[in-house]
Amino acid sequence: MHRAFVTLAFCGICAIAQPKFGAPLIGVARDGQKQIRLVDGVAGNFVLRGAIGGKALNWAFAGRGLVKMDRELLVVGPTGAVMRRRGAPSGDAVLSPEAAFFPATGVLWQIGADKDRTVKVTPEVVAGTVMALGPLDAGSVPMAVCRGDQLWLLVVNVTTGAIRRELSVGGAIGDMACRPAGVASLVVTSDRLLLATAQELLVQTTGGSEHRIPISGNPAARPEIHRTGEQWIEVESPGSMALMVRLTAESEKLYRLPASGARP
Amino acid sequence: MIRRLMLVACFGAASLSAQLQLYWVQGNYEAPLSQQYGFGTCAVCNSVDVQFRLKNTGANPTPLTILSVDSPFSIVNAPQLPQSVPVNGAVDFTVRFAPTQPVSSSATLVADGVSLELIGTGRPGSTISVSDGGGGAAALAGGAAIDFGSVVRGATVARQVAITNPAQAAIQHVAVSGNPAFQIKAGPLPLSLPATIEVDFSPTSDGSLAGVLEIDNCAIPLTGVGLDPAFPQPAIEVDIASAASSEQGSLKVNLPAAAQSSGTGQVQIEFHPSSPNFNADNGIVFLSTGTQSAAFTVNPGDTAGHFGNDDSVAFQTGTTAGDLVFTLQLGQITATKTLTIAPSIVGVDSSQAQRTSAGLDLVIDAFDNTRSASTMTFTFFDQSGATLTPGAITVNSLAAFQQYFYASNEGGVFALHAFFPVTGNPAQVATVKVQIVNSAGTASTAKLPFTTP
Repeated sequence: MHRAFVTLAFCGICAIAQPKFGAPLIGVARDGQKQIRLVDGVAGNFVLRGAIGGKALNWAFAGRGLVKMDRELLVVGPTGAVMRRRGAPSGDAVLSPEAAFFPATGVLWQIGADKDRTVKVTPEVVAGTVMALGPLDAGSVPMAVCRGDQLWLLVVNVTTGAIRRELSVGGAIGDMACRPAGVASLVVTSDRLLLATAQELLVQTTGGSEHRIPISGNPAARPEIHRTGEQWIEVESPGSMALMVRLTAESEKLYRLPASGARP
Repeated sequence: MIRRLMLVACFGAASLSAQLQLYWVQGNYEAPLSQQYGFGTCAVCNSVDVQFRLKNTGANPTPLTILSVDSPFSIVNAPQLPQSVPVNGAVDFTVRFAPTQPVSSSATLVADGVSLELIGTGRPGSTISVSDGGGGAAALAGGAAIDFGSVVRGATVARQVAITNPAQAAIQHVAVSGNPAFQIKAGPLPLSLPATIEVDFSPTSDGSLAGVLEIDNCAIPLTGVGLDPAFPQPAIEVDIASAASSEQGSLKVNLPAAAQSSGTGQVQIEFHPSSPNFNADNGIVFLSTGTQSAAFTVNPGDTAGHFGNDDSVAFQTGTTAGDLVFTLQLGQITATKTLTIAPSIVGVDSSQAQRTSAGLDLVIDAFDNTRSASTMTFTFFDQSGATLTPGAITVNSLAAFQQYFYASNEGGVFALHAFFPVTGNPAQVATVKVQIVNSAGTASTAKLPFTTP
């Protein structure tokens, strides 16, 4: 009966399913001049579009996102357009696509479509250095924190600032992320942790598997990684070309991101 | 009235010209000259240089438009003409006397409003003639240089210098000075006349090189140009997993032998799309520059070009069928390599199928390197995998595709957003399969599962 109902519904709508076409937006990336640029294309074919402008200190994007300028936080919508600008404490912040944590004040901002929510996460609760924020899920945000030389994942209630649960991260990422504290670059997604070391990208899935992806031949490199798109992270390493890493359910694949070149 | 004006004008010109005064200069000393200056005697093969000065002794700036003298005198560091000489200003220059015959000579040095007779006497000296060893020796004029032309580093060019002097039995002194590229081959001194000596030019560096051939008191300038050896014919090597759209590959510049010189070259991508009507494809770039050109360097000993710190440069093939023509230029040498991207069926890169309260939302990111996509077919399946009737829903989107590609400079990439309103329960729909037809065939996705956000 249900099947018949749906079938009838399709018969009624098939003539009005009008497709729309546009440029595929992979995400946003930072160019060599530290400007945020929209990246169109498909895997292996990246086209950088115009810069959002200004020097970006940090960013995170996955369908929508945030860009931290020195004294502003930009809210970027699904098309890559800046939806809102709001004043923010000077300096860097820890970002996820939907939230920002300001270490100096201990304030966590959850960025809504129209309205933002702020909550204080006290230093006693954090008890360490916040390295990364994960994606918002059911009113909580994962917060990767270095406590001493050990990495912890705290699940923080974005309404109260309280910790719902916390766990110590094992494996190579747990060992290496905090040596020394605050130096490593970490990204937390819904299904994996990624840590950039001088020469490798360490990946740990929620299933517990670990693997390493070579990213640089320079043992002195200090790469940064950022969430760049739904399926993408960007690896920035001074003196080297930026890399784009595609995250699929099964694997990660490396591509090189073109320089911004002469395009507007 | 007109005649009076012309007279005034002539007086004006005369008064301006009279402002310049000629001086002889030696170090910090200068002496005014009026009618004549004597260079004394000079051997036929030699030359004498004397510095002169033109000073503006008037109350107004004055133009200097002419400064000349006839052979065997010459001005060797002529000032820029015309110029304005300011009040109390001066213009220095050097006059060379280089007699070609053992006779007395005179010529008039002329500047604006001033002139000076120059006299000098050539005394008998050696007569020099030069050949390249193939016969046909040419007499060398006084003060003239022996030029060796342009010679590649490592090679040697010789000149035979024949010396005769009826008044002299032998040469007491023969040497070369200046750049060590010039070497002399001569017998033991004293060298009986007539004699022939060989001067070799073997440059070890590039650029203009100079030396002096000394024969007793005669100094003959030697000139030549050192050239870098030509590069071996380079070749372009392209390394790419698949000659297809949306691929990243790398390009190397290989030399068949070690380079003997250094230089900077450039590689460029020129794209010839399979249809001349296609817009540009901004995806076809070298990744390190983000443009369709990249520079490389070659150093002595290299067998490959260097792109910064790398031996290769990465590029991406874009999303349009056609020929990527890589062109290399290194000095005067060029090389090309063509990578043909064949037309292919639509490549689906990613997809997102979501149920909403109003229906089914489908987003597909893909590319069509033929830019000819036309019909799309959507087939929906229920939870058991059975096709939901009425079966495939076909939409002819040729016009919409063409409109989109016409306005895009991003090659064949496109994002398709299709929404299917549903009046029943969308949760009954489990998956969708999408087929897109273009001129190369039909691309078909796997069954894309719908998720509920």
